[in-house]
Amino acid sequence: MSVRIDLAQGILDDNDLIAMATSERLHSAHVLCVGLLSSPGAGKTTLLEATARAWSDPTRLGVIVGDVATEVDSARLRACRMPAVQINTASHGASCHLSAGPVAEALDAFDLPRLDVLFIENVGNLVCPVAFRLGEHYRSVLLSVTEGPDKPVKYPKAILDTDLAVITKADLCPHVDVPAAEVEQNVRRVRPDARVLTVSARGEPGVGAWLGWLDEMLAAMCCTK
Amino acid sequence: MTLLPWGAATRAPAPRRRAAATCDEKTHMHEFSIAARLVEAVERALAERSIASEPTRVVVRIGELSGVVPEALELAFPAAAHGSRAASAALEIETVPLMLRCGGCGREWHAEEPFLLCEDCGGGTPVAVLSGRELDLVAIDVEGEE
Repeated sequence: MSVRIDLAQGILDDNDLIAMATSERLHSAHVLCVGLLSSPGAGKTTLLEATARAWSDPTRLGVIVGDVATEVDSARLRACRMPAVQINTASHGASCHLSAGPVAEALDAFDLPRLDVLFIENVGNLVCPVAFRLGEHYRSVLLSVTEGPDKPVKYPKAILDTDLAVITKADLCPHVDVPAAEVEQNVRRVRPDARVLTVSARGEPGVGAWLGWLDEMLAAMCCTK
Repeated sequence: MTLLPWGAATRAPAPRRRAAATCDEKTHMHEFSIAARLVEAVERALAERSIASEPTRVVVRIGELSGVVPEALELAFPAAAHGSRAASAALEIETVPLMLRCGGCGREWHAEEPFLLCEDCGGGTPVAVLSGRELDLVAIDVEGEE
């Protein structure tokens, strides 16, 4: 005879518990943790390079970067004097996203009391990473204008489960005939109250809005050291 | 959590497929990692309760806004369970509809797309997700255990 045992638990409870511990560890070290999601090539690493150039001391910006393979991104960020840890996800049993365990382990590589912000740059993918909390205090999603205007409505969960949408490569709007306003409008179709910024790491309007948002979040968390 | 009254569908267990060949750890499909977490959770639940017999059925609840495709999870589960205590368990998936409610007019609807926008009110009102985010291990069936 078969007996049913009720469990009523989340399948990702274990991941979420580790993520919560990471979030608390960073909070008590007064480090703001910001996640970056996007499709491949939307400009996550380039935005972080621009952030490092603008920060008074880029060695106070840490980054954990996930890719299926190679150290290309972490090498780029180290060249900007950011402490960077690369996680190659193919060696962690699932290549399409980061998960909380390897991220928590990577924290030990940083001098946390020195950091202002720890960025977690996820594997380029607008689907798989969304379900896996890593311990970020805020999650951002980058949408480059070169991807066309409709990614927000095609990947709505990436909009719903993030705190900030950053429209990138805005300097290319005239060349690809995609107005940033149209991307923003599609973000708002999914979530009318979304916070949306428009940036360009290489031209106008620059990354001031992103830096302003980081300052605001640092102030809100009392992370300023 | 209880089943939702608007008829969360219950899927019959998927027929066994030779999934190991297509569903290895390099596959770009996060349902494989969800399936792996699920198997870990099942094994731990058995160990914590000192249950000696193996589960015959694993019941999960997957919301339409969970980001998990039930068919992909069905494909991934046998591969993830291979060699584990859940190796001979059938996977039963209850899907939960994405239900939204407008904070302005109170309308509730089953949304095909997760757009937090009430068409009656035109976007100025807060829209809440009532259900659809579920990614739950509901129960396991075991033979002859109390």
